[in-house]
Amino acid sequence: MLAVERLSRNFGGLRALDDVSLAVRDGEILGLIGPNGAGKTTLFNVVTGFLRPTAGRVRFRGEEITRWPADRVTARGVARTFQNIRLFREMPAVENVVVGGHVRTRATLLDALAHTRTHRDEESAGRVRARALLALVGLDGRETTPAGALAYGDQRRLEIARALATRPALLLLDEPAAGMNAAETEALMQLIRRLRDELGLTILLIEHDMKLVMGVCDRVAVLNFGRKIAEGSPEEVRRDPTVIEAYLGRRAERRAPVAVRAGEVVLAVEHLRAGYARGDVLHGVSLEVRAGQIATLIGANGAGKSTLLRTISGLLRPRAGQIRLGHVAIGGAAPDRIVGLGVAHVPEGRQILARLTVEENLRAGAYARRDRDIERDLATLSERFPVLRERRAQPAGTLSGGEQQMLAIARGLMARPRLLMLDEPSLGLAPQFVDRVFEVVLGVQADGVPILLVEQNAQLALETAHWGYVLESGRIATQGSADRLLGDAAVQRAYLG
Amino acid sequence: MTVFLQQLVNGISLGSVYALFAVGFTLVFGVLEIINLAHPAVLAVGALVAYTLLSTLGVGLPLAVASTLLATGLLGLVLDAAAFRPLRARRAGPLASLITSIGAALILVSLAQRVWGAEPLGYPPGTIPLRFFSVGGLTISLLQIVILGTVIVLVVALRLLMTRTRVGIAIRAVAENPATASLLGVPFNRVVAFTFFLTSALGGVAGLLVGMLFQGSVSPFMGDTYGLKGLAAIILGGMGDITGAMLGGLAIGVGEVMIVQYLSSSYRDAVAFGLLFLVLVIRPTGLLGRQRSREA
Repeated sequence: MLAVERLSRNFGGLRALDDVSLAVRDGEILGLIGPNGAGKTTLFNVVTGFLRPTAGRVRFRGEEITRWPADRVTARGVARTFQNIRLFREMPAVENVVVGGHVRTRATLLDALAHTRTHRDEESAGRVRARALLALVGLDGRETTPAGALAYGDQRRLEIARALATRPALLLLDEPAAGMNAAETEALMQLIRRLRDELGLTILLIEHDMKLVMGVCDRVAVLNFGRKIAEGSPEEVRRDPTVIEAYLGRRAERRAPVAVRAGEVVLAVEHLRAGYARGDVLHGVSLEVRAGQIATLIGANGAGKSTLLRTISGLLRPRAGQIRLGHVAIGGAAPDRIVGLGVAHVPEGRQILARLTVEENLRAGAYARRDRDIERDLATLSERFPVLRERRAQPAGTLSGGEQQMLAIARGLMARPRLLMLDEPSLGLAPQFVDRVFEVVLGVQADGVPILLVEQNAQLALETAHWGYVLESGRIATQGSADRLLGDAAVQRAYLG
Repeated sequence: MTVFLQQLVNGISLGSVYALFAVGFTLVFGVLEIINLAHPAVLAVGALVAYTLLSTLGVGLPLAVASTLLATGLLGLVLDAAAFRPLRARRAGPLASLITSIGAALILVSLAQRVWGAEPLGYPPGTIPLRFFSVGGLTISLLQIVILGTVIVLVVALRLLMTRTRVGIAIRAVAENPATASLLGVPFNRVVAFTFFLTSALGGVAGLLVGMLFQGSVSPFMGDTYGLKGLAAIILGGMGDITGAMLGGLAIGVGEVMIVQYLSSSYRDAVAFGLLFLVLVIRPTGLLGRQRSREA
């Protein structure tokens, strides 16, 4: 059905896809998995014509469609949904689906203006079909509801209905279960099977929810750093050591964290519930970080790790539960106050201020401070991060990814925090940079700053930390000393199902 | 050639005032992503306050400038607290803030009309002595020197503020990414309030300078013309960029003077929009603007 041949795509210096070949067979459900930044969505974008490949070819039903514009690819029979929902929010659900059918109408603009028979017939046929598709995905009765007013899971299904309206032979689903609860995911799995069995569709799907992937896919392909590292039945892939390493990280001989006696509790989180408009992400999470320690929070994508950090630093309001820094309750306070009390949060994706210089970023990190030691701390940090000293006057946006991560950590330290929270410091970094970042993390801990580390690379995180928490679907599934968790099968289950 | 250089000098002194005014638009846009359409009214209030200081109270120019800065700066704080902050607290969109700013402008202009009347006013003659200097065939008036000098001092001070001080770095941090800025401990609402203080203070002084440049131009309605030119200047230079706003203001000032010299004075106001049109066609992000992407 679809053949991807030696496909590569570069973004600047980054190789998002590196010589990937993949064949999707007629009538199969093929899962595409891999850690964040592996190149999965890029592959979708190249196949559907949203991006041009740097090298390689894409063939669909034997016909070469490489470099075709997106609308032509769609017209030929490839439809997709998006990772971030892209519906016409103000339009009724049924209209969203009708729009999807336009690629298949023959009436011209003139027909529409003249209100000719062709146009009217097509319009009404399109509506009938749209209603049928809504019924198929389980949205009957919601036809007139504006798309934006639908529940989150329903919006995802509406996206599928809209994609189906283009009458595809091949359907690409980009994280269809993202943000869904267990019951919604279950219903989605049934829907995906019906699409194949009843409509005869071939389906290629990206998904982080391993239960779904293992449950519906006939075969699974795994990407990591833009390369295909495995392909096979779900069972084979799940047991493949290369895949396990890609997800959990490699065991390496690293400097262990400085041994400490667990001190007083610096951060205490109790029964925390929090989330977004579409529902709770955290369902009663409790954890603590003690003086001198590195505590790590690991778990699969979507488990709620970043949500927890965002709630602690005040970007999200807790719905229930307690957060205490030392003896001060900080739950629900504004972020600038929480920072002022001593919590430094180095967010996912680094979030350096690209238009400010490196030095200005560091000074911004000290905003909450009033003391006179800022200059001295700047000097100390320049010694710890020589690369930042060299690039002091450069706009931070010109730094490489690894340097930006160093800057983000250094900026957090400029606040002289009582607690440093790091969100995915290794994300998207080349291995040698990952080692350097973790050297820095250990150095910070040795200086006595307790750390709460969120990391997808579980192996690496547990080697670095004293204590680990495994978060699964918004709940702490297990916890224990990092050494013990390193060999724990529960950790692998949390990632690969 | 002499005529051209002479007009260039004239254009720069006019453009520098536009620039000072436009910086206010662009800073607020950078931080809040809204166009503050009350900014032109602040310019008018600045000119009128200065009128009272210079004519009624008879204070000297330096004191008048300083007092106008302070008065319109405080007005900016009131504007933010009354018109914009309540909307932020309710998470209203930029369109709501835009409408509110129009409302705030109407209220300010009406109040100004009550206090100062609707008739155009002029600063007392001799506020700046009519004196001219010849430099290599060019004639530069003392007025032009004072205006250029004031703008340069203020702009240099602004630049230092934005790059060397804690609050300046905070403003730029918020303009780039409010969520990240809050994670660094930057209090959003205080930074916004300070931005309004700063921009309104500069806008008020721009009003005073306009009043000196054009005798008898001071009135509650004087902001309208400058509002449109200021907007043209920031779009020309690139939204949210301070240097861009300065260049845009200067370009429009010089362009206007040249058109009057070489074409006809009736095309004068067409310059701003002619330039604007050209830039939008050729480079839609403005001269120094960056692409703003809606895609995450």
